[in-house]
Amino acid sequence: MKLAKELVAASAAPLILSILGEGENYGYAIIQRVRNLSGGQIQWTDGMLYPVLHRLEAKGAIVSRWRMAANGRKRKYYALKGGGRKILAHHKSQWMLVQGALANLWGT
Amino acid sequence: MFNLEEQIQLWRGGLAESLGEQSEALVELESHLRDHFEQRVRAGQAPHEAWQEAVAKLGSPGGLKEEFAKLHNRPWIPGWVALGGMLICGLAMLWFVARGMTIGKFRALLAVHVLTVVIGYVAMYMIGMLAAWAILSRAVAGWDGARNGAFRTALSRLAGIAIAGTAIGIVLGSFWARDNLGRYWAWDAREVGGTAVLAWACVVFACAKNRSTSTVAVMVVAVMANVVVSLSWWGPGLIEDRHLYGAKTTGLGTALGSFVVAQLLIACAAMLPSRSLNGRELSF
Repeated sequence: MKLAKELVAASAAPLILSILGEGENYGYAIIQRVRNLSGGQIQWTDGMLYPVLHRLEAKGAIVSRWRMAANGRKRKYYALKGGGRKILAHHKSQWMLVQGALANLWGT
Repeated sequence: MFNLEEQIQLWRGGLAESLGEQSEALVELESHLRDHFEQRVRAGQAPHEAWQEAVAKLGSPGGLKEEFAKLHNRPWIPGWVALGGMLICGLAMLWFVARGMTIGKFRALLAVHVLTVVIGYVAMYMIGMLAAWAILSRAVAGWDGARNGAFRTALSRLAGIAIAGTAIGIVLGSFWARDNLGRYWAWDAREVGGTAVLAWACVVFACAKNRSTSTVAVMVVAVMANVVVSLSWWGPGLIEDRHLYGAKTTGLGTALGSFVVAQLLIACAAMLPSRSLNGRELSF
């Protein structure tokens, strides 16, 4: 099943913030994590992740730094900031509300 | 025989124009491509197939340009502060020359000459100050494509104002010189200074508009606007008293020298790697 474009866009920020809530991470690994979490159902166009990351950084939700990876190449790692935790908590309450309402309606 | 580095260069070329050859976004996307490529090759895929898959998954250059362009449209506060400063300066100068004309201190030709030259020169100071801010900001907090785009836009606007103001001022100044000094142009220190400011404003404009000029080069060229305009505006007074219009030179040489040295040091700071002054960050 392919997720609707609007839902992919709306869920991008909460997914990224939640993954970064687990610890510092970089773009490619974030995409792999989303793929694994959704069993391959959520398919992002990889390059579109970065504008979202940059926008979250500009908002002060996350912070980035270049770090030398084990393979000797530099990678940009992102980490959640205090402001990002608040945004994540807000996203979480909203998604839980929607999920709860739909579950009640559908009796699941 | 598949050559990864060759493919990377070709791919970079397609995005460098919109993201900037040295932009962190481009480096980050390249890092992503390499990660994907390496992972697929390790899984047993043929290199050329792994490359094609990685590029396809990353998205089309057009789509990426569009998404990153949305970020570039974010307002950059220092740029707007500089343009706001220019507006306030323009209005203040307008009031000053209007008042000067009312009390008979200036005639119209001299008034408009003073107004346009000051606007042109202040625009150059704004360019220099923005560049100094950008250099220090890059060294401490890093520099992304969004800020780079907004920085170049602000520079090209201010350089446009500097070019127009200085060019009009020079032409009007030559007419004033014909009426008052009996000649249009004599290559005196003030005239050479005005020409230098005009030429440097053109260089800043060209660099800001040309996306193939590296960010660091644009920053250095722009911060040197402070040096050019300072020497052009205040330097002639140190050479000839008549350029002081009755003011004193006490401390002017020291102040001018100190300011120029400070700008040169800031220009050197542009050579520092991004975020190098941020203790916990690894350099870009």
